[in-house]
Amino acid sequence: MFYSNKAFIPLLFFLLSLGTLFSQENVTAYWQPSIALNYPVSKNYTHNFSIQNRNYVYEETRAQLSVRQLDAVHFSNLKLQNNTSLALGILYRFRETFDGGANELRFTQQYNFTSKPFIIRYGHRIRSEQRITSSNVIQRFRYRFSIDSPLQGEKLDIGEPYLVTNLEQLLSVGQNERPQYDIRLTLHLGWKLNDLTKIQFGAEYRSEDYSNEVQHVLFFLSTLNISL
Amino acid sequence: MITKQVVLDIMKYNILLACILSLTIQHCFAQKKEEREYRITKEELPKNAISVLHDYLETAKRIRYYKEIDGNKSSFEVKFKKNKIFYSIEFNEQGLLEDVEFIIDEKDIPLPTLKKVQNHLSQNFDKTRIKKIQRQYPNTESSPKIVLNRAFENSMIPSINYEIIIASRDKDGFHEYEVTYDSMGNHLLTRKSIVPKYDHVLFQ
Repeated sequence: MFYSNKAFIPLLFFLLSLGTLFSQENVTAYWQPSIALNYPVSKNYTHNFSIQNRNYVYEETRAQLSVRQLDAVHFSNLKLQNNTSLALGILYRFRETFDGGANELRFTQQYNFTSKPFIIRYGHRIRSEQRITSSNVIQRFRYRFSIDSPLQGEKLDIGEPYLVTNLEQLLSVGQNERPQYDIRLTLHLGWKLNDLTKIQFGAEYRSEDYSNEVQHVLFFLSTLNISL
Repeated sequence: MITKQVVLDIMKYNILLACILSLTIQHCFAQKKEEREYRITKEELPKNAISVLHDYLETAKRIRYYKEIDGNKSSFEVKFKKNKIFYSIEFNEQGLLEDVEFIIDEKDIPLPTLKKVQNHLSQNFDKTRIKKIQRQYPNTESSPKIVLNRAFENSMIPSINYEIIIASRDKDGFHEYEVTYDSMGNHLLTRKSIVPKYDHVLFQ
């Protein structure tokens, strides 16, 4: 038994390139652990609940560990076909208590479809979001292309690893705000622990407001995903 | 209202979470797995299977070898692309040929057979979408070479089957099925496929 070496090339390249970013000044890095619970409500309708918290690990050229925010998230997902779904989401972000930033209420509308010609599954996700804070409302539009595949064989069995890669483009607009363009590249390495549970570790690079004053943001991600 | 104490609790929770996850991974990897399929090297394939296939793989691309374990039973599968066609050849535990399959289009099925298949699908499934069709050559001969030659020549012999993967909606929701027909379009077998979950990608 062996892993496909090719599958690890993008992961290695991505992790190595992250190191070079830390030499720049406009770099922030976070660690973001999360727990997600998914369960069916009826035959084509599912719920997703998750809690995630974001911690500073590197900001303004120094390493640190402090909490930035805590998010409580819910999505209601309706399957339209076996590879197509519509979802509505709500998120509340607790931030004021942690670093003094504004709390946020966010509504999300999502359309997703996937295709799987062979081993690799391709996903397309379109989202629109309303990010509401006490001072402003930002409308955000997102498109994400994902690929995911098992790393041992053609189907994901218990104990086996898998890889998820996302590339996402975002546009944020708001009253009295300049349009902001962001791009995100994410790599997740996960394991299927049993039929209900998966664990993922990953890294995400965000280039924020790249058409104006670019900010480089790095995320180290860990997720426990339970699907009943 | 969230207080400073809650902040400290969250930090503790993160460390605790890391410990629990670490222990859970170790526990799960230690469990014995009864059903799994994984990629192997060519050398791990039974020698008689390698020798049977040798001549056919000379111009093949993207050759991959797999082992499947189901309880106490195991089998081997070799997948590759040759002359723009995707082949899958299955061997049993001893390396004896089980069948040869390759992917075809709807138009490659003879019309009377296709009509019979379509009738069966429409009568037994709702909102059917065909995802994949494979022509299957089961090993019904004394020599595996005969079966392999017939498969690579794409011979339309009576012993071939059609294995069709469909997506369909029934009273329990959306599902995928693997439906097998003989060369005349007579239904042989229907098996429900397990569709891999997508929650871990969809909402991350």
